[in-house]
Amino acid sequence: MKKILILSALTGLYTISLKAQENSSVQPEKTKLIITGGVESNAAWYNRYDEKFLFFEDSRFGSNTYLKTELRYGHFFAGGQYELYKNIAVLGSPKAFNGKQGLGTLYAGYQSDKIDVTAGYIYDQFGSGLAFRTWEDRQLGLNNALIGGRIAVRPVKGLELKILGGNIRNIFSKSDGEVYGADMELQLNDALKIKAKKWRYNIGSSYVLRHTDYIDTINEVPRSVGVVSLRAGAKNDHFAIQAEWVQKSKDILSNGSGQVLYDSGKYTGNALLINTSYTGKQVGINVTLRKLRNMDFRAERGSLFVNNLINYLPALTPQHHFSLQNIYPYNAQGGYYILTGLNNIFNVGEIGGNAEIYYNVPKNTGLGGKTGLQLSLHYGEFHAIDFESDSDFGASIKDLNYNSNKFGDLLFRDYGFEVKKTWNKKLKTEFNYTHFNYNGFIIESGGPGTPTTAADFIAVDGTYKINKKHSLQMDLQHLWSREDIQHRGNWAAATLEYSWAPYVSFYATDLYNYGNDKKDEQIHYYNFGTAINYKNARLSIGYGRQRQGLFCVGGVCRLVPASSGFNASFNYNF
Amino acid sequence: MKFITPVVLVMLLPVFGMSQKSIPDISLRSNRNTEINLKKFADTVNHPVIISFWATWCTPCINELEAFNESYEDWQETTGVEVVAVSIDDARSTSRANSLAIGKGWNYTILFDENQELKRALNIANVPATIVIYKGDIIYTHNSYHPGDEEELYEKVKELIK
Repeated sequence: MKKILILSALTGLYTISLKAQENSSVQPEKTKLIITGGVESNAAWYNRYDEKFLFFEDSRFGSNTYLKTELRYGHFFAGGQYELYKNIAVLGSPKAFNGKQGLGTLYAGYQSDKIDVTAGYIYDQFGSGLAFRTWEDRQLGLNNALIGGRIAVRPVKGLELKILGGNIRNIFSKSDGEVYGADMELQLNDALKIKAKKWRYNIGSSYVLRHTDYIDTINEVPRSVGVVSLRAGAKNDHFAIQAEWVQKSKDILSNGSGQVLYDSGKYTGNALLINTSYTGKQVGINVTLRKLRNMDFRAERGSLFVNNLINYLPALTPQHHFSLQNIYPYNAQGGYYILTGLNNIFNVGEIGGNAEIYYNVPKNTGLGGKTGLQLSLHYGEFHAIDFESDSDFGASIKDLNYNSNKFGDLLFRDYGFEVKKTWNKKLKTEFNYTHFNYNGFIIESGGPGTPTTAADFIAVDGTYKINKKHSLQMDLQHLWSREDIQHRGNWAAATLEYSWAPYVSFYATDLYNYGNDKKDEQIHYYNFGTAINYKNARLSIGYGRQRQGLFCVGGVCRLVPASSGFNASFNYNF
Repeated sequence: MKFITPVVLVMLLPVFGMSQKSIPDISLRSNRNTEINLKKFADTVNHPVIISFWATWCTPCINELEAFNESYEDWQETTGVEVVAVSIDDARSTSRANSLAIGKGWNYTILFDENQELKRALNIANVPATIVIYKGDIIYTHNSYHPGDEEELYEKVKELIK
């Protein structure tokens, strides 16, 4: 019924716009209909058998295609997205998409300076997203748009109030649970007309309620769970501090794999996030601290991975850009996990922080040399939250000092530096060193296990501009790894890319796991291909092998299986 | 129901083949302690504006903004062009964006598109993506970055002010 309503709204706009066009010759200044849209398609043709790469799906051809359009007429807007996953969805997307097609999103509404009203599929975020965030990430096959309605009002400058409600999109359907939310954001200087220019203050708060009719006959499970968020911030030209505190009412305790802890349902959740920064002349410093405890928040019981998410719990460590650095990505731990398998002791959440310094070393200085250089340093680590247990064996969650804030076992640590130097108009180089400590059992599979991988990474990267249009880029990487949970050992990698701006580029890259303990798994993961740009369109075609691993975009990760074959992607916007 | 929608979508395309190139009416927080409405901004400024979508985790994006920075003074003197860097970093890295920009010596206005509202409205699939706007209209769009792309972009900007 809702769909029919929205469709009739679309048809209405269509008619209005036709009329508008007829009249446009008479009144050229009349409100114009604006149409924009885009197409994106990612496809792959998988090899059934290529050494270690086996492929078992029904069809070897996978593709994810998105057709999107939006119409705007004055203050009114309407749009939608059609999605096709044929013959199967590209590996790594949720398998529930395989073979399906349909309407992914559809929405219509009114937008002005003072008020926004939207019905249909909605993307929004409260604060930093710890309480509520709906968004789309096509690379992860993630779309948790809220299907329902939203009203946002801005009665005075500096104040915004929002209310929303509905279900969370789940593949081509919607979550069992309903979600309602309210949010307030206040820029105090604007709203109270504070004259002091030096400092600017903001406060905010949200409430999000999830209700399901799910009845659990074994566990006592709260059907309604509420999350409160309070935020405050202050900044001037150099310093900034933002803090957010979040409290979740009693809820089940689940792990990243959708398993729910027996006899849970009586554990509250909470989070604290503090972001501080200093920016001076040519220097920027950032420090972030965060604690998460039982903050996994979903619109349906037992949801896996990227399904039915209501909030956003990103890993706060930096996202690295070299391929070998991404063998050990961190994935934030918001739920429970078992740190030591023997004693069956549960841990919940994470606590830790991250600091970075970016420095633009000026020209004609000792360190900077003639052309200057860019330096960045980072250090971050996250731990399990420790607790005191009453018994040595079989300590369950009951025995935990649940609200402890003590740093426990290490989950992840990385530190390192990057130096970028422009030598002259033709040559730029970059050097990168990173150290990792990585608890693979917890990060990849939710435990149990304590071994922590230690790894050191170095890379050199150079870009050489042959002339105005032609350039070469090359990198060499090495990763020393000890106690990898899959015994993969050391890696080496290289990339070579040639580009003819702005039209074509060619690349070849190889990751070689030469240190693997198993001789027959010392595999070359090679990839080569080309990308073509023309106006608003881009096409890329490649052939190669994808290693199995945790693939992360933003703060959300998914496990991608190993595969081999052709891949192509196309996008065009208008 | 399911088959109607694509039909509607496809039907719309040829009818309005002349899709309008203009800036969405979206306001974003900036590093200059103000909120900037893109549409109002595009309608009021008289010089060409390069809007570059980037993220702290995107190397080609950073390379592109570095390449702009190397020629930015010359570009501004000759054409008056302004670069606006729209960070699509989400809550994971948005606090990093401004520090990184300062550590790179960039003097651009930075806008924070934290939940990617502007990126979606302009149908941008991936970063880097660069658009040139002049007198309220989108003149040029380019996806991805390779060294030398900035020359092509600057040519487009120069054509505008002739």
